[in-house]
Amino acid sequence: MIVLGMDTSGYANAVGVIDGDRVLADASFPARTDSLEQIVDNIDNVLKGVGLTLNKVQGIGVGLGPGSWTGIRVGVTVGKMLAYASEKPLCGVPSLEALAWSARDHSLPVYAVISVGVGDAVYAARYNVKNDEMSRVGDYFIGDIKGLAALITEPCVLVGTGAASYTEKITGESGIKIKAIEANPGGAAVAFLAARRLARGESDDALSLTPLYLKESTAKVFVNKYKP
Amino acid sequence: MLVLGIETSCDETAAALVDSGATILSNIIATQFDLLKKYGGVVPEIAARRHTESIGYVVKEALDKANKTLNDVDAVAVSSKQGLIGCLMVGVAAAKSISYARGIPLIGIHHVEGHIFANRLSHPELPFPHVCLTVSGGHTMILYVNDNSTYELMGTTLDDAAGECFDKIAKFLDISYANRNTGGGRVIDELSHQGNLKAFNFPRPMIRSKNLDFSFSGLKTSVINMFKDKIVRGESLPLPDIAASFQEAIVDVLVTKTLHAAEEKEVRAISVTGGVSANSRLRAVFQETCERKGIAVFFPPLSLCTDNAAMVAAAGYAHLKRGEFSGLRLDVFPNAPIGV
Repeated sequence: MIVLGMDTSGYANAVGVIDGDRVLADASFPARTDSLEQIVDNIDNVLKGVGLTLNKVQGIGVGLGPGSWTGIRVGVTVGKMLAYASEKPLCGVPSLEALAWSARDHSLPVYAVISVGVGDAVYAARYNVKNDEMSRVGDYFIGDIKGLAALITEPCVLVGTGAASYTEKITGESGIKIKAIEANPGGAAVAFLAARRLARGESDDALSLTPLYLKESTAKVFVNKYKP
Repeated sequence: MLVLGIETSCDETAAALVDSGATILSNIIATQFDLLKKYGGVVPEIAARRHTESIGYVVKEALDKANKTLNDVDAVAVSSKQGLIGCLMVGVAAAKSISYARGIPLIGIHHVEGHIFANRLSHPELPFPHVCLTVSGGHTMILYVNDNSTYELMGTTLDDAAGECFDKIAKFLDISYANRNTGGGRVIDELSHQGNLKAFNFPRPMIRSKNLDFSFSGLKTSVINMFKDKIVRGESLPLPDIAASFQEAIVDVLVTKTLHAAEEKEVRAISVTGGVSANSRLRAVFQETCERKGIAVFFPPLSLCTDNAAMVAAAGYAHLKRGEFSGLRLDVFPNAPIGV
């Protein structure tokens, strides 16, 4: 099954294509403020690069976030409207899960970490890997590195952009041994995770799919607090 | 030739199907009014999130209502210039995805050009060249409009848009959004019917200036100061009179300056578009003044005054006919100028 995967939650447009177990393409294009300008063109170039057109794609996976609010809005809108307009099945994949996928070969618990972009706040989640099956353990975490350090009680892998500096801080707090893996949520990782769900007969409704922000907008938090 | 229009520049998620730039087959608008009213206005992040949730449904509804599928659509046009950046991005992301998936042309449209086409859509007899006043919560512009979609910006607001001034005064008078189930402009329009428009002599900012620019922030301050003054003196607050007099000041400036523009360019037709073109007093004064001067004046139907995607599709068709497309790298330009 040929699956196209994309993720725009961070500082890159990740676009990947897989066919069954094979990675056909796994590209990453730097993008800080121009995700919208690039993304569809990047998808087109990646598909052309492996001799495919969108017609040949059998499923679409899209990174849902968390991450840049604007970034995930662009990525999810592109994913859902591509799927709707091309009548292909769609699967939303949490970007933290795509990150964890790239660190799954270490037989250790995996902490995937994405910066909130404010201070040292992060979004994080723990994934356990067993027989190539990944599952999230507990809720998503949103807080500072100190708060994340308090949750990590055993040797693990920590994956994300800036993993080394996070690991240094956490080891400084707790002394626990952590293996740092520098990575962005990858397009092929999103495609693999989407393909697994599609193979199980699962998919998401293109019209109703929304990003995984994990945080309310500041205005909503303010109004709920002071003008309930 | 069927064009799908998409519009998400502010707080309406809209999609429409227009045949050959002339016949509206569907015009779907999902307003965010109920979502945003507790904030007293548009919060960009909240509006952008809602656009992402709604866009697919709105596009599908536009197709269903017209009894068409994406197979029937020949091109997709989208507002990509002027608006809230995060909101514009959702529409453009959706439009370029549809364009790519279906292999059909993509056309990025200036939102204000869309408003200009609201009148071209509803009045095919609208002559060229003419002078167009686009007046809404985001714009107050006088444009000289040619048939080939070239525009000369003759005047614009230096501070608040006229519609923004309506909304802010309504909010100040506590008669808008939260208290009534409609926006500030309409509340003032309705309230004014019961008031005396000569009760207060509010300033007409820049009405005698040599250029065709506008300024409304001083008028806003004047209304607010007068109101506070009356409270301090313990005098009664005749809201309908305040609303009617305030509205008259805005209408007076808009009509006077637009007519100056028409005289300068020696055109015999004026087009008024945008949300404020729904204002009943603005329509009445324009009609009366233009009739006296032998100038034809055109307003869109109320359904095409506020933000909608039919006008975007119509503008898109005009570009398409001239072979003007945008590529897949189409980006948004929240402050893009129109004309020169």
